[in-house]
Amino acid sequence: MRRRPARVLLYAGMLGAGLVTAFPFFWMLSTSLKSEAEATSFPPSVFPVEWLFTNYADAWHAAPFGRYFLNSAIMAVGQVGLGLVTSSLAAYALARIRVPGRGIIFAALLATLVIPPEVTLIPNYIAMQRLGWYNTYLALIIPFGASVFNVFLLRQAFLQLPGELYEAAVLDGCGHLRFLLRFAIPLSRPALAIIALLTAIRAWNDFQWPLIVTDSPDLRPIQVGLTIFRSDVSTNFQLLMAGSMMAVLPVVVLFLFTQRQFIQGIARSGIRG
Amino acid sequence: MRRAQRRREAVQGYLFLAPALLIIGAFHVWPALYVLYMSLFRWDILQGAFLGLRNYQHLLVDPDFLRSLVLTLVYAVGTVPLEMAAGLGLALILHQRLRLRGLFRLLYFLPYVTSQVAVALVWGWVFNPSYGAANGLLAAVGAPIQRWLLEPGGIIAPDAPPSLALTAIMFVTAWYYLGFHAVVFLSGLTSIPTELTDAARIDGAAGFRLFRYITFPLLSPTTYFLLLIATIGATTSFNLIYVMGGGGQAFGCAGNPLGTTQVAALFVFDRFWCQTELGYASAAAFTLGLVVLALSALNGRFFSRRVVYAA
Repeated sequence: MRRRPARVLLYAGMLGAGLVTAFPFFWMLSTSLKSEAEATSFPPSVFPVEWLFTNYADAWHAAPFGRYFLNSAIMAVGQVGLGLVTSSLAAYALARIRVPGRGIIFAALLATLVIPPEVTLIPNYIAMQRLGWYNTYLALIIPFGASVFNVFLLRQAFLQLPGELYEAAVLDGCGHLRFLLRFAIPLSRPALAIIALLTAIRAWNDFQWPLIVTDSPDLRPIQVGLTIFRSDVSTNFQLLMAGSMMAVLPVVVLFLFTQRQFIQGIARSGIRG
Repeated sequence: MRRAQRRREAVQGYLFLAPALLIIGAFHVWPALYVLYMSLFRWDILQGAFLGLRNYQHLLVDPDFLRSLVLTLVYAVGTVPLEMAAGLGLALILHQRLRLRGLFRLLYFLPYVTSQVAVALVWGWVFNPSYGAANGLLAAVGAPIQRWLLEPGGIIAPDAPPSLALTAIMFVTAWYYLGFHAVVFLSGLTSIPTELTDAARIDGAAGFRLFRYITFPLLSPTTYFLLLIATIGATTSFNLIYVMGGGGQAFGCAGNPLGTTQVAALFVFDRFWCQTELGYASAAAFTLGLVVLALSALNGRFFSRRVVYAA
């Protein structure tokens, strides 16, 4: 039905953009397998002459990556767990409970979205010092334990639950908390999964905040560890790329397995990190 | 009886809201007010003398701060239209029934889930002046090699922003957010009722005219939404610029080379973290917050009249 040349152009555009998108990932992988001599030769080779998988072991031992990964995992799990609890409760209250001033609370939450993180950074740093949370997991978890976006997303899901369900449950003597745990949460699993995913990936990729509230390798998450690794290995680019691959891999794998929910979640909520 | 029940329900509602409101209030709203308080003091490591508005007076004549605002503007103007136009183009392509489009959508989106630190390190390596792939490409086509992230010279005029370093960072920024825009635009495109485009086709609209008079206007809520968050995002952008701004070599506190990549968010971080002038940095942060607020309001005013909502 359509003219052929137009189709060819569309495919060319799609492929061209794909190549530009994929190139850095390919380059990271390719460099991570090269020898030091090959990585620092010019002009660079496209594929490694010899595939040195040992670079990964070398990179792993050159810095406390295991610890960095553990810290990032603790941070992600903590933020997801706390975030799911706080946003479920708040979203349920906004969607289903007759709370006086609900409209004002909703509008106030909406208004907080215009506050950029740069504005809150310095006072929050001071707050961590004063609370004695500096260099603890508390600093990495608690401030991100609730998100307005998550509350909105879940509220939307709770609003879509059929009203008769709640009325029937009340007749059986079911209160709000029990209704939330027994019905609202199990029925909103897709929305909760999106929130958990977005929160986990955000936590894994966070950099500026952990950089300023941690100063020991025992607490540093992977992104901060990676920038320190860069100064440590300086010109061993193959090790730096191997380290970057390791830092990226968990999230990429998670994304590939959950891409459908993930992309829907982004399209719906428009979160831009 | 009923009244007591209502009251009990209200109390329960507030209890449900309390944890989220407490965290958002304590770590999101309160600091936005406290930063204003801090900006009125000399505040190095500890709180010092009350200065009134003197930090702000200094800011307004601080060439580094003024330059950082100009660079932020340049960065936003150089990235937002590019990533939005390219994202829309990709969304239009993905909207056609092409083979493998699901796979490509996945690929385009990949940068957005990868950490900005890792992305910045990889691109820093691509732009490495001695061994980088970018120079490899230039050498292959016989063009003079560049210093990329270490080059303070401007691409338009030697002394005018953006420097080649900032331009390279802007390119990476557009690369990073491209897929995000494509995905959100695509979801906007799929929500346009097909009856409308079909009706326009019957009336003889096709190709660019169909896009110009039907698709694009109906897409305007999405466009407006993306423009707003992309502008705010670009104005407060930090990670990519910080990690790449040191020429891919060291921490980029000052936003090397020669400060030509020190946008406002980096200026704030430099004064706060590297110079420990917390009061002064707070004044800069608060000003940046006001700029973001003004941009959001301006965006809203300018575009609210042009947004078309499909019934």
